[in-house]
Amino acid sequence: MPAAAYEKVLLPNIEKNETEWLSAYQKGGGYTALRTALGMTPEAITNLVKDAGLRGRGGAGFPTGLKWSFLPKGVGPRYLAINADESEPGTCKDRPLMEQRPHSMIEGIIITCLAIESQQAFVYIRGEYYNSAKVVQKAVDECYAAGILGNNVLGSGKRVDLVVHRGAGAYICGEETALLTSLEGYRGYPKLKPPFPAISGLYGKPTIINNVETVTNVPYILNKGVDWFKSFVHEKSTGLRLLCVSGHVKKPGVYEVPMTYTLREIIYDICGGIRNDHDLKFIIPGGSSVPWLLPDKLDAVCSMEGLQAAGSFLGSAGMMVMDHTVCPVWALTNLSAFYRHESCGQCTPCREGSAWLHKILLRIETGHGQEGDLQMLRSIAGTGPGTGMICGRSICALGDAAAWPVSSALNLYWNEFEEHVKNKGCGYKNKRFWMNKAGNFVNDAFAHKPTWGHAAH
Amino acid sequence: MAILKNRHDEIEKLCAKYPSRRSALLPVLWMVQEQEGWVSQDAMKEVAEIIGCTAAEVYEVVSFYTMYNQKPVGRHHIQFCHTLACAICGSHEAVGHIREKYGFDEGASISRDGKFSLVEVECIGACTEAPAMLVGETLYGNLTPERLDEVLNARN
Amino acid sequence: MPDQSNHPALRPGKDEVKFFINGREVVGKKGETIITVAAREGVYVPHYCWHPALSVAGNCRLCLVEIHTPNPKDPTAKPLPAPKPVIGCQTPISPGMHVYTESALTKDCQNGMMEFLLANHPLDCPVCDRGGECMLQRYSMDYGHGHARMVDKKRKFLKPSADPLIDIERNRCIMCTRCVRFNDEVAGDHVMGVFDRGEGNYIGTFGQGPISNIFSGNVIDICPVGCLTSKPFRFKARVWELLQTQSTSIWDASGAKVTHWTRNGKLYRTTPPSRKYHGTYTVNEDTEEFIDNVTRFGSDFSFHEDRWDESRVRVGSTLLPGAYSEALKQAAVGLAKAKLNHGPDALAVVVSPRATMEEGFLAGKFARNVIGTENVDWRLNVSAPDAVHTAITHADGDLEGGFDAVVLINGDFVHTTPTFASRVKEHARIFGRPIIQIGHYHDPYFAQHSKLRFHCAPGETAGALASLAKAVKGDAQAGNLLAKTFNVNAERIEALVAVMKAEHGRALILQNLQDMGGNYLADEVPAAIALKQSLGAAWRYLPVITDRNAFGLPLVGAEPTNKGEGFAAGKLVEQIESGRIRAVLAIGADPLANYPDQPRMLRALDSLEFFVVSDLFASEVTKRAHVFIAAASHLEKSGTYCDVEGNLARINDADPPRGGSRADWETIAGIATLIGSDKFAYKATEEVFREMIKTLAPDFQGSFKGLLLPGPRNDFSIADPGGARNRTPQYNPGDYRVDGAHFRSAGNEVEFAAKTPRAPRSVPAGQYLLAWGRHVQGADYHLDRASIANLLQIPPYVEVNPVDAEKLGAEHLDGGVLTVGEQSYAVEIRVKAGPAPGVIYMPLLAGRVLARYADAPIVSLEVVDSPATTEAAAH
Repeated sequence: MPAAAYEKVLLPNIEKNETEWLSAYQKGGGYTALRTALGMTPEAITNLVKDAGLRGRGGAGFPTGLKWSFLPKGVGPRYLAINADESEPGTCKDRPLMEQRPHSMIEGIIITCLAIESQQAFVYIRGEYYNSAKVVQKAVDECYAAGILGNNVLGSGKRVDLVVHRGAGAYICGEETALLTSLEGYRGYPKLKPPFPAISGLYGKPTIINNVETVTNVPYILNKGVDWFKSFVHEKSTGLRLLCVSGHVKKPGVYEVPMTYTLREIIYDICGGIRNDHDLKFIIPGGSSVPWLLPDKLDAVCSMEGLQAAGSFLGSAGMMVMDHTVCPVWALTNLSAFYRHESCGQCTPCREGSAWLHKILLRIETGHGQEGDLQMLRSIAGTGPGTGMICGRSICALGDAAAWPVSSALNLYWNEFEEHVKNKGCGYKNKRFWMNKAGNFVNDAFAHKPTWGHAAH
Repeated sequence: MAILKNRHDEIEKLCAKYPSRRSALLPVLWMVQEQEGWVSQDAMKEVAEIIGCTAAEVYEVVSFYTMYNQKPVGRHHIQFCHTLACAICGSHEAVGHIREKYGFDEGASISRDGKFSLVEVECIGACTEAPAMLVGETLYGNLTPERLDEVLNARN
Repeated sequence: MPDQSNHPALRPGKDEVKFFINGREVVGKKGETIITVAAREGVYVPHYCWHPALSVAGNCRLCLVEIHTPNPKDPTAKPLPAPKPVIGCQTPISPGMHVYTESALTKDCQNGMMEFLLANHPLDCPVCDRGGECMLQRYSMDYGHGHARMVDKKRKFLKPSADPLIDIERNRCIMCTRCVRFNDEVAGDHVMGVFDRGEGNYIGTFGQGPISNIFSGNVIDICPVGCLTSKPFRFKARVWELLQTQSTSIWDASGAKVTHWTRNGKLYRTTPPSRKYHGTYTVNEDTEEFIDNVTRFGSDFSFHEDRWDESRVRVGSTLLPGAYSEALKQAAVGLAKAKLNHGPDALAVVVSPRATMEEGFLAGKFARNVIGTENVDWRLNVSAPDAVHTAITHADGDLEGGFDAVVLINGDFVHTTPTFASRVKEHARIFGRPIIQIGHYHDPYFAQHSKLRFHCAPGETAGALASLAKAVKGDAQAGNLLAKTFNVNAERIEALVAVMKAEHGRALILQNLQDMGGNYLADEVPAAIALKQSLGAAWRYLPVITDRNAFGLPLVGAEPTNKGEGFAAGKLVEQIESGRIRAVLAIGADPLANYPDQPRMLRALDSLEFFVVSDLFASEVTKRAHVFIAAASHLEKSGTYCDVEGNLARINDADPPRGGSRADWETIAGIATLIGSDKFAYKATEEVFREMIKTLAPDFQGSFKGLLLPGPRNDFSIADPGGARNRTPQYNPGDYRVDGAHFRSAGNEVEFAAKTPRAPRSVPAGQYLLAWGRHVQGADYHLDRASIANLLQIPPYVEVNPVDAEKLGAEHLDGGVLTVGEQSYAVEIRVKAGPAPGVIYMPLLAGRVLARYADAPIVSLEVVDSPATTEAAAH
């Protein structure tokens, strides 16, 4: 157990839930990393980040320094787009990061701009984060007033501009190329790749897209050194990671941890175990699209490699924990509704496939399942990544994301699905999840029928 | 030029922030919605003229992003999350509670008194505080029946 | 259409990419995509969203193919399968790549996509007009797996009545977005869009408005499924029961190729000529030939109730129906008598600008050989005949091989020659070529691609062109003058001169001859040609005019050779009134069209001693004839046309002539023979054509593949439609060019000099200069009688520059009253950047609004509908 004491840097005071404005941030040593970076060459900053082994915190885990080095030399202008469209269900780490430590992110953005020689950065914040956008905008205004942003960053003569841009309710805009089309003012349709954004991105110019948490790590790598960052290591996963634990744990929340803990340690030690001391049913460890894990995988290390070995992904580190009251068919139907609603509709397999999957699941869950439905689900969603009628055939990864949970749930709970079909409905008749202050389930007589799926036009 | 009549300078400042005027489309639509509560067809025509595109292009965007209201909403617009993390913490019961207690007819999205409008939305990024909702621009998490009533009753 | 593979930018040899399709080595050019190379190599990759004339969307995913790429570590080893299948429409070819279009994975992808696309499809083929040429039907057979698994409720959309011409059935839509991209990219009007999100995505227009551009009908062809269908054709016939006749548009000089679909003597629809038979059903091939709505929907005018299909001879005050032969005899006698009494120069032969080249040729031959006069002319709609003659005979440009830059001089090109304009725009769009617009009116259709635009007042264009020619030669003073004329700073002029001076492989100057009724053409045409001559060999000159055969009729001698003093059809009234002309033979010509003073024209016709008309309809003109000869319509005869670019194209007879009518060439030949000539014994148009070509180009060696193919005859069309269908000629519209049937006048070596610029005109404050041009949707005695003329014709409108609109307090689509001298016209105001500031542009919509004035008149415009005005009125 690597529970040695460590210093939390990204969200040291998360419980307080206060915004650290410019003066407080600077008092605590803020923007010193930027001063260091201003004295470095772009290559030196990139190499430092490469050496630290920083990998993207948005989901795919791509090495950040390597991504930066993909930009073609001598082509400009180039843009930095920060992906703050955190919409993967189960994930809510960037919101506290932006709302509590906006300057830490801005410092990371400016250093990244220096590293990739960009003069213009955009923060694309999802529309639902009204407050985050306000806080970040105010922090940006502070920076312009203090000469940290603008045409003379801290007197260095270098120019970095930062625009706060709000989305308006579209999960797909978290996909990096959809984020760019949305930022350009269009429907958030993912772009065809290649060309990749590093070659032709925003407005057709070379563009780097990084997650909020990713760039926020950069100042600390500069301040505390590569060795400090690499002291938190599990295989190729380095640094601290914001883990969002939600669902049926006693203490849900955002935890800043090294990627060395096992799932058991996270759920039972850090989060205090399952509520009402129920049994653990299953875990969705990295945002809603990753394959599910059963309690037999509790000893998997919660790192990119550790979870991959267990058959899932760390993804965006949004961990949802379900107790034994949760019907897997019902849970899958819920997730499937999400992907049906959030598919942008641009390409055939995702538009038609995500809706079809949900229609079948809803039918099974509500007792109208038919023989052959499960085989049909399997043939559409496949038995794992790269199989079925959707995976690998859509423009972006949302198609895959819609299919993965289905194939995973079918693999894990085939019997329960079969029972739903056979018994014409859900055996978990008393699903009641709402609790009052006293911790008792509210058996609300007015339980609402969820509005899953689209109304027809 | 009726809806954004007096906000010309603000819009031009906004457009100047982007390398392309088209990028200002989403922010200008937000301006309309913040001012009017929703985005009407007339507003779309006006925004099209401001941005320099066709009304069809504006409607393409408005209808894609679910947060732009294409119909008027109540005085307090509730966006209640019903995705998995919130659902397993009772968002469906909570929505039922709101619908029953705050005067929503079957299938209606606005309460009878026009005070509240309610829409079930996909994940609003408050999973660790489930169940959660947005009332106007404010996020409320960890909602118990008591806290929900407290929040909604405080609105007028 | 520009073929990207032949573009000089892709040099042969240097950019070759060798790769494999299904194991066979093929060669493509760098930058080409899998689907285009495969198509060239005869390997069909199914697709819905991809279209050669549109941008790549990559959304239908039907063209997914399995690829293997060379192992980067060991290129000699077996190629590695790519992690995912790739889309053929977007993936560029790369050396050594293996593409498998028939592998198990590829087939599985195709199967899957077909199942997805059909999952929510209503399967209402029995009531769908696309049946028989639907790509869903075809691909279901070829790539689907034959059964449906979805048992859930299908998605249903509302069915709006968005457009009077186009029916939208969204339940059949597969969201390929071809229609959206077509409107955006080709029609230049993002009027259609994809709305909502995800499975709720649907296509439509804002507020269920119409698809209001002149190309909108093409979305019917471009839609691969039954979502967008033709309203006029709705539920009228199944396509496989119809007989196809390859023909060409008669509406404007773009020379669009068309197919007429007929059955039992009735025209059902007109489409571009791209439908091909595939086994037992037609396939709507990806057409790059787009046609305008007038061509598509207006071609059925010959079925109008006004049609007179029996010839008539005047007895006293009435025209009595009679035999064709009797009418010919009366015509011959009358014309011969007039010649005897007043001499040959008292007779005139007026030919329709829509006459075929054969008819024009025979009219010229008749006038010269039989009557003995030069009084033969087609230029009824032209008020500057000499300038138009000069322009047409100096045309040496075309779009073959594309262009590196194009200069547009004055005009509403998209409404003059719609499909030609669309080809110019397509080239500029695909290759990013600069468009420069100069003059008092810039076509908004090209706005997106017009890098440089220079406005000046009406009448100043000729001077500006002269200054530009000097400025290109380095005359600084001319540059300053130009900057003043255009009211721009020196840098803009430098940019303009830089483009004109740049090294071009090919560059074009396009001049609109419809402009201002030709009032300034006498200055502008020489100035434009002089500019071209000063720029060197890369630059070509191409005038543009609506009249369908404006480029063919001068070639075959249908205009007088004695310019200046000679006869001119545009001045017919004056020549009748002065007593110079006493007898007229009008071949399909409508002297009333575009003539402002109709009563004067009618009085003149009444005063004629002898008036023979060969025409289709009862009209004010034909009622005044002494002999009326029933003419065959464009669907009932064959003949040849020449387009703006000098290419020949042929109309073919889809039906026999109705009633007692006859083709005009037979009529002219018949009268000539009756008068006593033995040189008019033709049995078919082909004989006329051969003689005509021999006269035109004695040394011509090329063939006329396609041109001489006879159209399907009626004798088997009704009894055995299938047989006729199989014998329908199928030719590539491009054959005309390949075979060299392409004509340009030669030997015009005269050097042109532009005149000195005019002084700018002073316009009182609050008033404007009026500019105008002819509009293909304007009134026309043929178009007026199309079955849906009311939907094709447009209300009178004026275009106002945004600067002036603000001054006027006018908003787009407000109502207005335009006052020209004593005359007032109710118009719709459109705010467009087309007209120069201070200029109001009005298309010439003859019959409803007449605007043929001597000079750009000073006019005033009053807004009547604007909210501001109504408010003011309330106080």
